[in-house]
Amino acid sequence: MIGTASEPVEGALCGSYLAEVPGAGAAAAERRVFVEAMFDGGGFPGRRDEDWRFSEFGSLGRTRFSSLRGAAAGKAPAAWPGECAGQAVFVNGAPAGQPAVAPGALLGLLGPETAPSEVLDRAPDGSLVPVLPAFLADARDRARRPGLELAPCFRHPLEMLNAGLFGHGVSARVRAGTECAPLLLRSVRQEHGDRPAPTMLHPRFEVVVEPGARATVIEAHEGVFGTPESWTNPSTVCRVGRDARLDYLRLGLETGGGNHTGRTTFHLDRGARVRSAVLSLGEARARHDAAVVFRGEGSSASLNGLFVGAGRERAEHHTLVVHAARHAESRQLYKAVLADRASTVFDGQVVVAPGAVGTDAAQSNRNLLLSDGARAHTQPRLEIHADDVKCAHGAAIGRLDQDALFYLRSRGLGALDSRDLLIEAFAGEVLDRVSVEAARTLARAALARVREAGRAAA
Amino acid sequence: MTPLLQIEGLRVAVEGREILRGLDLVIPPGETHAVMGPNGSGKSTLAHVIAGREGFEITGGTLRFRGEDISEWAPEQRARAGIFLAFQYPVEIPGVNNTYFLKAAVNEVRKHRGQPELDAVDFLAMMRERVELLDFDPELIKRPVNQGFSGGEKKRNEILQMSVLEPTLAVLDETDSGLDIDALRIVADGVNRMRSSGRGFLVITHYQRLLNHIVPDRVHVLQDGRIVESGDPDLALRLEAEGYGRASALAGA
Repeated sequence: MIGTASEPVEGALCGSYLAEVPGAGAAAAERRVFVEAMFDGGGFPGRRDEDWRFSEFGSLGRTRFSSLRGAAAGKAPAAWPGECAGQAVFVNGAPAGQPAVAPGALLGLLGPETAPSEVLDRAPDGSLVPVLPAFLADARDRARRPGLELAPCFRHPLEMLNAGLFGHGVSARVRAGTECAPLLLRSVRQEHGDRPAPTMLHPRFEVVVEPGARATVIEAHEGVFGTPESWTNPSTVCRVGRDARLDYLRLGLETGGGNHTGRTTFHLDRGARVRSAVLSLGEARARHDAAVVFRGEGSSASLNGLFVGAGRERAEHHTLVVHAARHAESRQLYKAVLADRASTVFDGQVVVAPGAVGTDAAQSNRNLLLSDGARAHTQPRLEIHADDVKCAHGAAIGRLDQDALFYLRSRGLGALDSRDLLIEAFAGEVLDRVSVEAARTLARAALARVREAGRAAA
Repeated sequence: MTPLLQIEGLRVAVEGREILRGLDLVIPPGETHAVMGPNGSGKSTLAHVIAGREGFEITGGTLRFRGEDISEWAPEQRARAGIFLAFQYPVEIPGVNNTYFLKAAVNEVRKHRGQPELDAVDFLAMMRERVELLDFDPELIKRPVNQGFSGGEKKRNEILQMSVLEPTLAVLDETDSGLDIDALRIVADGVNRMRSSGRGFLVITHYQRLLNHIVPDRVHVLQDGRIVESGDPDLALRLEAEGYGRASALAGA
């Protein structure tokens, strides 16, 4: 029904994306395989896809985008308000100045000539894993057949598109046994009209934390969407080696109400630990997919997220945690504070593979609605194929606690102050897990904006 | 002298159902009054309506604090003017630090009284002293408000807040429920220490036991939303012995 009528359209669409593939030669040929695989596998995801049932990105497949990559930029973006040891800044997908390298870290630039296989198939110890050749051999088949044997990032259609189209980006490596001060990766949109709107941008970041190393990585998406149809589609893959630690912070700060579909995939070796916080603070229709694959015993991941939204802003947090190793621990805490007609989706999937005994997984999603028009949808999905595991989940959607509000007021705190205090406290549970002060400050500013919007409704 | 609390013919409805049906109660400064009554007589409604809880609709009568009609006042306005409610079920508030909250509350009250705000050092010094007097675990004041507190710790926290906020009129809503005898004594001592010529207490309780420790000036029996009998502390003993049945008979008369 959908198939026959839309195939020529999809074909034309595929052609238009193939025309956007940068570079030349073998690298470009490899990139084209990814774009083709994405379209052969069904093209843009829609409501027919289980993972996209609650998403509102239907317009992506009907829009002709021009690439923002390399468009003229204005002045350099304002300095990051916090400390960082190393940083790479990209404006419209092109490096703005020389990256600053932190001690203990190596920064490599990805470019239009980079072949996807150069960055996509590296294990945490730096060795090459033969994932990609196999992928390339039967990409068409695999794209249609989701399964545990394929890392989640490869199953994601927009990940394939990013792999085919990414321009510049960063490949960061934190040396074994070293401790690296915050590493900042910024992607900034600055549209000046030399590219016809709507535009698209596909940033790509790779982070390798070698065995025993400790790293903090901040990924920020900033700037303004030229039109509400414009689109940013970043991909980040983090490989965390044996007994290494990664503190990962992702900030969605773009304004102007465009589309943002981003993904972060974590591969964890034995004993590796990841703490992630995804803060969706901008004005956008945003979706972030966090995927964790436990590849080694005794690894742990704490995934956290906060969406602060007003107006008609929307942010979705999708998680996929694959317990493919024994005795791994995952914790998820995702929250949203919503005013006006803001809306959110939390879709949290935990898969415990056969044999992953001793798995300890917990998931919590809480949504605070500050107005009648705000909407939250929450969906836990647990797939357990092993015995002797612990899997807990909980979800809540609600208004401010009237008993708590009265309690605070009965002690002399004003009605608005009490309300603000409870909202701060609600968000604080996530922000307490954010180690970077500048990020907490940005989150509080977003919270103040949404509280004001919520006040008008109260 | 103007009474601290003056309630005349008070009628209060909750969700359309009348709970208080013409209640009269006067508490002069310096006095401690007990209101006793069976379950469902309107005790907690009385406590909440004095503190200004929304959803309690006054359908008749007057509610005055130091001569002023406070029926339209917001809860925070009453608190700043010197009314304190010790909750029967203190609320757990995750993410709001106990000390931070109490400091904000104290400074709201001080601001209202035209006193300078306390800085962190002065506030903590005062807290340390009060915490010691109430035998309160100092670790608890660093935790979120009431979170993970035992029943007894929650009640003690209420009394700690009262001792820090120094209200003019304190309403204790079944503060004795869930307390063992040692905790009861500590709580009662905390209240007794605060009794003074300018301050009043309204002690709401189901059992006479608390009144052995906080000896009231007057005891009132609340039945079906009205005060049906008032007397000296012996009335409480008599109620304990005879039950509320006798009072019911009076209410019906």
